[in-house]
Amino acid sequence: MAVLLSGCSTVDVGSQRSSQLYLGLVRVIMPEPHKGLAAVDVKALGLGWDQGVWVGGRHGNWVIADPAECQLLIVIRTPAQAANAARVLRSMEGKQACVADYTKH
Amino acid sequence: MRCGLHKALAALGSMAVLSGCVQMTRHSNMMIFGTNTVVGVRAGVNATSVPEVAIGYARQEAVILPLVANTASNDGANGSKLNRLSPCDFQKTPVSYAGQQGFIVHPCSLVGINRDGKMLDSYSVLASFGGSFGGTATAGNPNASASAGVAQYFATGLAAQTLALNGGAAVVAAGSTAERAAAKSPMTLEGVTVSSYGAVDPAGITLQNYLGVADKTEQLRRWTLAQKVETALGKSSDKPAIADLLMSDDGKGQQALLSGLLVAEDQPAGLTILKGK
Repeated sequence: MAVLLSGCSTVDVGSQRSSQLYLGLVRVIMPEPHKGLAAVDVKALGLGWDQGVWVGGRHGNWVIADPAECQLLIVIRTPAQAANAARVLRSMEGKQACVADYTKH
Repeated sequence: MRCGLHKALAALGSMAVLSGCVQMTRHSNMMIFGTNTVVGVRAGVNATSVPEVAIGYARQEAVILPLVANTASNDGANGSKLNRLSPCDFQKTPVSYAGQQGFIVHPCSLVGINRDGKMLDSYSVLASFGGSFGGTATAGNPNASASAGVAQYFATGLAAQTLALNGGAAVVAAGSTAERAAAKSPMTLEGVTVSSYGAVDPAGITLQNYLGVADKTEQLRRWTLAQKVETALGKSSDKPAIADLLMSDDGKGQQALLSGLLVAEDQPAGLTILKGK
């Protein structure tokens, strides 16, 4: 039961460290990373710790990108933004671009 | 009885600590962008270490953006690198030249240079914190309703420069605003005209037409690209998903794939599409 009802995530960024603890119902989604791009989506119901204690529901989504691979990062959340992103990408002239697609199909 | 309770609590606590963890690989120079939303009660410190208590709804939007590279330390035994990062040493690391203009770029810096080498700036981020809201009113007109989209965004580096030059605010527009922006400047791709996402021009092309181009070489290229996009959208490439999609009446799925193909066709080299959820 404890295995199902708990979770935590830790992200190290150089000397920066971010730890989050979840107790309750936790769902963690991590799409398969592509090159220097990864994403984490966490939904939790219960309580936890992230620079302070919280009680209730929590939803967090994070995109982690390597500047060497993604000199331009675009986060799109709607299909309309995806279409417009294609047009702007063409004019961005960026050699390395990454798109985090949060649209639902 | 008390001893048994203590053991049970200890076991429960250790299982909670040891289970469900997501440990990201130790990164160097990673950019992190994201949001946190809490519905309930939160007590702690905010980003500036000021104590605060929030009751109800709290939303955080944050980005950690490296401007100076970190490097692995070389102070391990026999010169081996330790799994510890430290700021790049500006005194020791040599300066290099990059771009057509011969920009002086310090290797400690994370910079972007555009394709023709004429623009140099820091790492670029273009992000949207879009949302939407709506409401209805019963007084006077029971059918009255209103909805609107909010698109908050930020851009840095070359992205900000180019956006300012090209008026690219439409990329972060939300809802009907984005559709109007797309309709105003429709994308054109090899004779394909799409006025907005998911709304294929009646005189334009469908997924079937796009993949069924007469030239066999071009057809192969498009199918290969479609398989990559299909994989990026979360479907396995070893299944005849595209063929099934073409045979089915799933208009939404076909439009999603066609739109993904348009994104892929327009992408610069190195574009990565990551399906979030």
